[in-house]
Amino acid sequence: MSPSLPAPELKEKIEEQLDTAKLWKVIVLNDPVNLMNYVVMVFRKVFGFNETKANKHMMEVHELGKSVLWIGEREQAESYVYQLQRWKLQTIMEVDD
Amino acid sequence: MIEFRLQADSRILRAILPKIEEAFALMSKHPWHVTFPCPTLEDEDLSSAWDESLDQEFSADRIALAKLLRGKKLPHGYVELEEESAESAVRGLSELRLIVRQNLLAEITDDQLESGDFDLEKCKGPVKLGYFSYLILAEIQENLISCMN
Repeated sequence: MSPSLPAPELKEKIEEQLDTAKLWKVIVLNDPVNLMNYVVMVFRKVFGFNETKANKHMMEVHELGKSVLWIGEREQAESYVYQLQRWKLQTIMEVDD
Repeated sequence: MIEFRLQADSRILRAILPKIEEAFALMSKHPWHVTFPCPTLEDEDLSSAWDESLDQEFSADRIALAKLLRGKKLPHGYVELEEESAESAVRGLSELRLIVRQNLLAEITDDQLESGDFDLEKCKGPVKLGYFSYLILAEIQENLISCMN
């Protein structure tokens, strides 16, 4: 006999818990407008990166079209996306597979 | 106080400042929530708070930028700005460049704009003015970032 399906509320709670257990990637997309030194400055300010690391991510954005800046919990990922959008950088977040 | 002089000829500057003012007036009308959406659109409360909060931040940046653009010495090539407004103005300049790009330089592709590889002489007058505006705004932003560092 198969177990009965969970009630909708229980299912929702389980999905919520599974969602918080996932890791999220913060991804900055390339745009032709923002200057390279501007992007480096923003990465240093938002993530506290040193010049070398900020430059590496900026070059990834420039050459590959995107760069994963951070991986972690959803709430912190949302906070980073907000801060980067505040600096007018096109940013998305995706589940880390 | 942050002060620097632009390399651009003041005659060119005076020709493009009205164009920059026109673009500035479009900033608050742009649907920024489309360009910078809340990553969790299905959460309506978060999405609404996100848009409202970003809107307030963008407004504050525009106020700082307005101080810079309406500086009395700017038509003569001199930029002056209080240090506490610099960070906001730098963000505002990015927004203004996005507006110039979308409204005045729509016929230039992203690749051409990034590389500068296109024939400006073949562009129409408004596009030329738009491109000079785009470059001057970049020069102001680069100088401000240097001053902040």
